[in-house]
Amino acid sequence: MKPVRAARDVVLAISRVYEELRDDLAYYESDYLTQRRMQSQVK
Amino acid sequence: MTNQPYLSCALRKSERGTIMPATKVKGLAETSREKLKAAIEEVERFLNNHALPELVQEDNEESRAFYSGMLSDLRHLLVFSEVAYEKLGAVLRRPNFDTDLAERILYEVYHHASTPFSILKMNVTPKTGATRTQARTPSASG
Repeated sequence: MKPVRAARDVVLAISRVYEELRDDLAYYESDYLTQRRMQSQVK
Repeated sequence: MTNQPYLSCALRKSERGTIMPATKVKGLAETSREKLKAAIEEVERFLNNHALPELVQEDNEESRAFYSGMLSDLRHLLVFSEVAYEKLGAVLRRPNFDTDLAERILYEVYHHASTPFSILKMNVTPKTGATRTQARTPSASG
């Protein structure tokens, strides 16, 4: 099913923003949690 | 002292605080907040101007389920983004920047706003070839 134009437009409009956020915050996908776990192990 | 290399590495890092320097975390908090604001404005504009009946052009159950789910996802995304925007504003306004708190919020932004958006986009953009109803079938039954 092809979405109506307005639906596609809003998703494309916010795509750039959320994809930039995803790239900027890639560290928080797994590295951050790994670091937190390692810190808690040594405490 | 441990003989495990990764733990000794962690000791050095924990002595310094976080891996990411506080200045970089603060910069990320500022830019993320600005980006969230831009997304919030777009989503709000859409939700304020489009209702389910006008989006459902083919009067069938699949179309209704598709747009109902899409509007629901956008509302959730808006709420998560607004909450994160407010939290980042609060942490940035503190006289002493709390790096740990900022990192927890940025972690939430990644997992509660950015990743769900990717799922939303996958469901809405036709190039994937999968419709929302197909994608939702497993969770709907569970």
